Amino acid sequence: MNNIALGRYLPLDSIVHKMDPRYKLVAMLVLMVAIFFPSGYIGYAIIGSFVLFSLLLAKLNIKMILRAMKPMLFMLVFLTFVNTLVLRTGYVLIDLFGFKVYSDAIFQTLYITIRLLLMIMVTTILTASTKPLDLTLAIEDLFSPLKRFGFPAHEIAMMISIALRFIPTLIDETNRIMKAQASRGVDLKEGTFKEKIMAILSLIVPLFVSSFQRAEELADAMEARGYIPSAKRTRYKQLKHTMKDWVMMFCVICVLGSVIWISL
Amino acid sequence: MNPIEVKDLNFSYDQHLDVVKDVSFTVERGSYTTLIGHNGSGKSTIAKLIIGLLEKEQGSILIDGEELNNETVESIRRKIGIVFQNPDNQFIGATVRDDIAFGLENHQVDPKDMDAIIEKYAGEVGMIEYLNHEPTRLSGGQKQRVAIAGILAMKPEILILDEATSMLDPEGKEDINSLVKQLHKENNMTILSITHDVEEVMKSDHVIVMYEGRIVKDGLPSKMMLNEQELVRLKLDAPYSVKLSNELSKLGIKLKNAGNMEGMVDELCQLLLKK
Amino acid sequence: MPIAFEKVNYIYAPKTPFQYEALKCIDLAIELNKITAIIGPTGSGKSTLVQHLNALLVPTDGTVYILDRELSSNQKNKDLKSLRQRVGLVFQFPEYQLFEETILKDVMFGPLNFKMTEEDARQKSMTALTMVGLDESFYERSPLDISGGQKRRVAIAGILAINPDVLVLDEPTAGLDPQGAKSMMELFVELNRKYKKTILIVTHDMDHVLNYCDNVVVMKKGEVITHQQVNDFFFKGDTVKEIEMALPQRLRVVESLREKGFKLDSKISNLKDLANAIKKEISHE
Repeated sequence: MNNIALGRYLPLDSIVHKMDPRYKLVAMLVLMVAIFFPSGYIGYAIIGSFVLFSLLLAKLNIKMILRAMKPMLFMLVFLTFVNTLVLRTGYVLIDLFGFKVYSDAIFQTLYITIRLLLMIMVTTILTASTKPLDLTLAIEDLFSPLKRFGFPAHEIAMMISIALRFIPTLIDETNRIMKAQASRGVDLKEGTFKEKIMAILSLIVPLFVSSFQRAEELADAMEARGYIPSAKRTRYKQLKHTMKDWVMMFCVICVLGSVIWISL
Repeated sequence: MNPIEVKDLNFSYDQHLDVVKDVSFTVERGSYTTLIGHNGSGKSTIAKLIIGLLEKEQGSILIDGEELNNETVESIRRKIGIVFQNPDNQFIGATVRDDIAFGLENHQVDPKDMDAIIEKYAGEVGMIEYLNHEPTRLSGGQKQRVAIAGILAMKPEILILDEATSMLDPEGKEDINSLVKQLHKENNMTILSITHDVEEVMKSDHVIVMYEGRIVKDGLPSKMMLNEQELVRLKLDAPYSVKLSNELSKLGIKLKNAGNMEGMVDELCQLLLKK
Repeated sequence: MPIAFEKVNYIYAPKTPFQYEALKCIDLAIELNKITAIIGPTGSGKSTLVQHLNALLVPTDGTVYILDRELSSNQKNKDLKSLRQRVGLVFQFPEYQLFEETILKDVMFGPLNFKMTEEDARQKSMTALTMVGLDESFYERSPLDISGGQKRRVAIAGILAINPDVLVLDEPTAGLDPQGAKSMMELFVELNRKYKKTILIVTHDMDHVLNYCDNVVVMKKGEVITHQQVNDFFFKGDTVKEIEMALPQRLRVVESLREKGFKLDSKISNLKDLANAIKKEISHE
């Protein structure tokens, strides 16, 4: 598992994987709020230890997440650079031939880095331990009270789940069209600007045409099987919450509570 | 009462392709009917008209004696299941299990009962071991089996196959054909199969031949499919047994069983023994 | 130099959990100026094999020799474009690669990519469209508004206009009606006989193999099981029965007649000969 992209589901067998996606989603939001509270290092230590504990429970690898952070390294370097130039408060940490680096600059950067890292870890735990489809169902359930006000919770969930279902199919299709056009001499690396535009068109137009056809056929198939968007339907996948979900919720609220208490 | 009765049906697209002109036919209960015609002869359009995916311009469609219109379309769709050509574009669920559940959800089946129903019909099409598989891990033939299971779970009386095997490899084709044959025999389902395969036509009870939007032949395959020149004119292929018996008749050997390869082989065998 | 595979392995997504060995130690030489069929069950590696012919895939191990080129993983494979000009590959359901406003423009897309002049490209494209049986009335029509069979012809013309020496087709008759499939196969025979193109066809249809092809390569689970002349394949030895694929119709009839006591030579090349042979038997001539 070398190149795990951020936000990908990892089919492992853990207690976190078995939790109710609705509770996981709410827990993630609560933790996000907690992270945004300016609670200082003690607060972050509390959140951090909870997140690390969840990470272990979910059987996820910390290294993996750190590796996923790599692309953000550039941003952090840039941030440090800007902060050293702009922030001129606190005491002088380093004095390089008259160029002074202040303590606040370093601490600010560290602060932001920790926040970012925590946020990424929290979202990764959610996405790595929850199937995209279950997440969709959780969104549908959480938004269903809004149905009364005409919010199309079910339709949105259906759209997302179909999009998820067709991602692999469309990737295959894209590969095939790319190869077919490469056989007709398309070369995305070389050529003039005009040729590149044509090359991209030769990929996008067929992809659109076939996606539209797929969409039409899929709509026919759904309708033929009795699907009516606005009509009432039952749902096969019922989300169930158990004791462990309540325990998790309790812990998360404790974390938020203590963070708020600290920052007061 | 016949399961499908079509009278004076007319339909045309905005564009010029695939029109239907004055089409009338009947499908009898429990029969295996085939609908054959060249590409663009309008045969798939007829399937879409029958399940109300397209709206007719003129004529009438009666399903089980019930006239198809805006009010009845939902109840009529419960009586008909259709398998389309492209296995990928009718797989809606994330897994086999979810896909079979899709139709049940639409019919508001209690989620508690779904597992039992899903397992029953997945078993019937031989896909019980694949319940948790995603579509990318299935072959075309397997996806079509799942489509059939999803349809069976809704207990329709009529099964329409709209070139359901034309994108499959020979193995998948054979697979689906024998499954449909079994459903026809054991469950006594009415089958309407839209196909290019003359050999499948020869094994059916009833054939309807279309050419440029019209029905040009309607009757027993063993009678309708004998004129090779005419079939070629209709842009179709004659069954191999017909081609061979035509060659033999040029040589003075007249056979009775031209439409049926096994019968013809037996007949030839008797001739061989006689002399 | 002909077309040859030497100990070619191909692995998809190597060193990942999805690793999949699609070709295993392929040794194969394809005759030039012939029609070669490549058959085998789904997943046997046919499509992977043909994508090596115009370097869309490069072997993980081993070497592919195509015309005067040599392709292997341990050398830089530069200027693949000039190879692609000489080996045209038509994918399965090629009608989905059309995108231009008019049919003529779409067919000209390939030639222009290969740096032909506008005039030359137009000329070659018109010739290609004539070859596939589409006349002038199609030139200015949109490739999206014609029938499926015609779209496929346009797509094939798009490769023919590049004027390759070798034409590779992945299941060119899939989804066509029998007459459409027949005229498509006849087109390939004409391209081979009249224009001297080397043709490779991936197919599932054993009748097409018997009726239109010179040689046959049988693949199974990433390996080449046999590579023979079509006549030897069907009429000599038992390979054809061992591979568990449906026999062509004519051979099935011959088989069942022989089982019933007819003394027929299995090597009957057409329907007329079969009828004659049957008559001979019945009348004991």
